[in-house]
Amino acid sequence: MKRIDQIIKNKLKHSEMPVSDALWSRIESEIPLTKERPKVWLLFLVFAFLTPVLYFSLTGVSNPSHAEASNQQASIDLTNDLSQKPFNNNGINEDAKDYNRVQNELNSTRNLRVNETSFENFTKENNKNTNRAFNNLSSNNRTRAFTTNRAYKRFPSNASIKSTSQNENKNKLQLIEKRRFINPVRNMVKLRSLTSVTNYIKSKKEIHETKNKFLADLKADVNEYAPGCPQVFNLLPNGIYVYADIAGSKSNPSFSGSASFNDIIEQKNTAESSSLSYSASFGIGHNWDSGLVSEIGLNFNQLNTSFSYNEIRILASSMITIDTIYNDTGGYNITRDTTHKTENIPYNRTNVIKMVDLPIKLGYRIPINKNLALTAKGGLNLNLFSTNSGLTFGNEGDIITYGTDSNEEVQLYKTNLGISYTGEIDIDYKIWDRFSLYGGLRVHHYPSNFSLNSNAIQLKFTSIGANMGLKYRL
Amino acid sequence: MSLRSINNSNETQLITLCKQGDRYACKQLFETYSGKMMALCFRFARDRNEAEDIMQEGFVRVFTKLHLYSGTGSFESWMKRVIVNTAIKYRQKHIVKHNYIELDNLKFMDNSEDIIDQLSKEEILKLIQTLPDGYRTVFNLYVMEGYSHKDIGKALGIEEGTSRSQLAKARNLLKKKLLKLYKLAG
Repeated sequence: MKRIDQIIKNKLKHSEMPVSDALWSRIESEIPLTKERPKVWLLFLVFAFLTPVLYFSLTGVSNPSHAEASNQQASIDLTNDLSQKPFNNNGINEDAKDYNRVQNELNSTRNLRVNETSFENFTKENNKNTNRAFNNLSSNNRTRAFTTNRAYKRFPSNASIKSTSQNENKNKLQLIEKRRFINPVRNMVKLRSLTSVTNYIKSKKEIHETKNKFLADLKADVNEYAPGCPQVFNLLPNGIYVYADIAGSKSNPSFSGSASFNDIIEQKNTAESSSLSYSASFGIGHNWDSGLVSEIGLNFNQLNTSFSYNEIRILASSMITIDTIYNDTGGYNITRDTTHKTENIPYNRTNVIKMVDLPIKLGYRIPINKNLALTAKGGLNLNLFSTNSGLTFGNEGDIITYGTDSNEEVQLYKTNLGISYTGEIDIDYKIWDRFSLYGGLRVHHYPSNFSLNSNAIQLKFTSIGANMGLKYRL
Repeated sequence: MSLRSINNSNETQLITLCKQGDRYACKQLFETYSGKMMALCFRFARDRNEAEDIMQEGFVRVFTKLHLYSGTGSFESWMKRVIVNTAIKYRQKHIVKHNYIELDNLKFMDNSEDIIDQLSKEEILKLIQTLPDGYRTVFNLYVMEGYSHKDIGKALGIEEGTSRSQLAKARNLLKKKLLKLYKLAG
């Protein structure tokens, strides 16, 4: 830098100049308005406070064993009050719609009676080993042992540290054991009341997880308190699924009816034979824990029969002969010679009966392994309505069309309402997560239809076929 | 008016408040640095009105981009950079074609520095303002802001060589004007 530069720089380095008063106003008017940002830490505090509050109020899940431990403080002072609500601490939101129902169920557990014999056997078995171990502990350690849930379960023979009376101890012990028997049932009640909790649980995933948690607790209780524990069932449906399948079958239709239709019936019985029939079904089912299976849905059936007949065609041929000799009248004689020939032409026609049924099935499911299960089901098909179309012989041996093919809408069958029976054996295979594929054999027996109009033919058939479908567990 | 006695911790607080949208804090910062920045803008401008326009644009940019100031380095240097850039952009937007005559590189008497020494800051500022736009910008960036010719070339979009020649011409012109002043005065 040259000297002149340096001089100028030194002179001007710290120079200042006055600004006009209006300049700041002009600058201020162009600065964009910014809102004061909320203090982030304050938001975090609010969120940190609300999260556990919301979580506990919504889930209300509690481990019964931990609930027990928390209820048993350092000094075990039991009362003869089984009305302690199992829903305290981590219980269900008391604003649940059917709270009263839940309470009634809970109150009903007070009246549960334990089989005294099995109860005594249970306590004797437990007391044998635990008493000796407990008595070997020092008094301080006994107290400590009692304050933890595990110790409480392991040493049931001494219910109270405070109490010195043996009888009082014994009574309290019995009370504890009875409550332990009641515990699985209390869990059962919790499961029932889960329906109220689900009003406040947003996602299906959360419902599923909460149910599974309850079930796991319940099963743990059952395993622990068996064999004297009262049976508990999973009262909440967790095996609901939807299904859809298709089937193909062959049937042997037979026709019957009033005497006025005898000819037709005889002809149909001889002229009609079984053809491949189809059906498609969808519905909803439930796998119960006990192994029972129930299903209800809709079934679309198309029963096909092949109607064969021969049509006789008469062919005529004429030969005209003209004499070459004049006849008496001066003309030629003309003779005509006609011969006839008959021909049988076979015809085949598929007669169709379409039915919509409501199947109601019950069955049993036997798991084979983690992914495979065998299911046997049977039940009723309520025939809702049907249509039919086809050809048949009339009373005079002519071919008549009936049903929806007929211009006159001649109805041969009256099948507005009917009951049929169905049975099937399937193999279920879990292909992925909630999806399973199933296939098997299906039998369908249609004994008759309730004919409101006696002027109709009754249809009976039994079909045997194979089905294949998909299930999705909800 | 300027508050000369603001120390660093106060300035940091003011900057923080200003970032949060506190208008009063922004005004305080403006009043602290307005004098210096005005002098800077005046050097780049042709007249006072233009200097205030550059100052206005510069400070608006300072306050809207305040969130980009990370706290490292002095705030004054950061603000100065913003305003210098504003001045350069302003200059590029408001190019006025000067019909100036290239002066020969005449030899001057050696006492030009002495003459400048006798001038006040305002007179020197006015002298600089008489320079053509391009010369004045290069002169300010090189002499006052310490930019290298390479940096000047990048900022103005000119060749490094052009920056050097414009600086030389700016100096020559200044010297001529000084001599003229001296002769007039004398």
